[in-house]
Amino acid sequence: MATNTFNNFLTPQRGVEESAQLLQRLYLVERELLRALGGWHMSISNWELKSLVPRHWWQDSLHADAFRNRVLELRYPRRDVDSRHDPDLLSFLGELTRAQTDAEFALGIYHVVKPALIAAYEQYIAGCDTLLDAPSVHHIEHTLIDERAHLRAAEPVLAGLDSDQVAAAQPWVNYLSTYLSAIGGILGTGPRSDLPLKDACAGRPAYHVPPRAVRDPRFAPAVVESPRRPPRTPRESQVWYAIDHANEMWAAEVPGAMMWEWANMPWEFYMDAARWGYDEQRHAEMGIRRLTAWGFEMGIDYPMVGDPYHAIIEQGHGLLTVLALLYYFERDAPRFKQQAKEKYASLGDYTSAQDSDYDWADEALHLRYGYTWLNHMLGADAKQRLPELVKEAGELWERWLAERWERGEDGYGPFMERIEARIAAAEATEQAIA
Amino acid sequence: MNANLVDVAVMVTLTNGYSFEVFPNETVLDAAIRAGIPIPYSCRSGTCRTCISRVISGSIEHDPEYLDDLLIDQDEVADGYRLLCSSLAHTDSVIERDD
Repeated sequence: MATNTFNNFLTPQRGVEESAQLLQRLYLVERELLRALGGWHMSISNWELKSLVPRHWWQDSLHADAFRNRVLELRYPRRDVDSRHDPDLLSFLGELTRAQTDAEFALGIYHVVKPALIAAYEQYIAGCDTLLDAPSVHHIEHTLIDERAHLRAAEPVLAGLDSDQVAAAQPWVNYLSTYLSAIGGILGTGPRSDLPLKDACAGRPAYHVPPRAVRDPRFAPAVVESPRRPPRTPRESQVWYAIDHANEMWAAEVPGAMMWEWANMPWEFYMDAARWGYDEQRHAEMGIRRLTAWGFEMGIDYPMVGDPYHAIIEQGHGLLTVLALLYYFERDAPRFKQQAKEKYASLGDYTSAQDSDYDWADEALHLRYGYTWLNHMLGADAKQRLPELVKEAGELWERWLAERWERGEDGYGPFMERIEARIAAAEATEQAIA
Repeated sequence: MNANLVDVAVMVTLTNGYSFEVFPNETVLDAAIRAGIPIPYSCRSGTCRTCISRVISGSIEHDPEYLDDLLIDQDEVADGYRLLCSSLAHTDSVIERDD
């Protein structure tokens, strides 16, 4: 029988300061996960994996933002939230991008860090007063839904990776697991031991985004995605448009690259870049969905290539100019997408019209991102330099593309033959049905 | 601002030849859309800058309620630029558009 007494105190649980410190670790892990996923995106060759990670880095940015805000609610100094991290945890997370294959990278993320992160969230909830720390519990419970879904979504992709590559990645997986254990786990509450600095996988060079956007070896080699001639028929217009959409993966890779290479930006930058990259991957998926429905084989019947990125990098410019090129394209996008919506609706292609409608809405965000962060990067010179840089980036791209076409180095011949054959076959089928 | 000026519809003319009526408390962009005038736009909230245009004559000002949210700097405003999605026309006005 319950007895009323003043002695039935609860067992002491975590206080505000300790909770803030743990949540700041969770914020750091989510933040560095999205930076790692973004940075390595350019290097991923397996298309299914390349298509998977932008959604995960975007959701990780939402998790990180929720925990960052929650940390600030818990008497944690604003000036420390983005900088005062456990150096061991930071070093461990910095190892993730030192992977050397798709399998190493993916297994490090989906078989080491994310499972450990899920366990850390569960551990956090198990050790907290769910009344006193209810807002944290709310964020963690919602984050767990996403993180568990990430693991489920990754499994078939990992199963599709080259089995020899996966087998060869096991020492890397073991190294990361050992490293994480040695620092006491994600929350840092476990026993600590010596770091595995003598492991064969230790000491690899720091990762940098490569100068070329890697594409799946199952695809035919490609140089440019744009056909040399304009479309001659409405059907060609639909196909050209979908190919352009399908190739927007480069525009997902670029925000990812910026998230990695620009390591000390304001937190809002990573939020914006994460969303931008994910949107562009969705746009690529829109095009691929259309082309697949029309019977086109991705990367075989049409090119898949990151040519705008190559154009800027090959001419000796860096990521800032690539960002300017992205903004150069975005500036014209609302007019273009609005017209596309109307045009494809008039042709009865309501799928392409609807793709354009949502793409058009996304562009409003991207224009704000581009303008805001170009201004930030250019600093005091932005007023003069921003329009100059955007113009220069556009000219670099146009010149590079024109040169490929003029010299016959666009590599488009085989693709054009297959595109025309596919359209002819589809039209013949339609006529037969009619 | 003279309150009487916003109680009546005004005419806005674009240098590309289009003209349209703008009602009180209606944004210039909304009026253009209503009239079927093709002005590129996207966010409709003053943050994407797609509809930025220079006012050559008349009085078109940003809606004061949302000034802090607009992605336009004071130099541009001083030079006559306005985000049409977030602007109200107070008198008959002319806007530079070459598209």
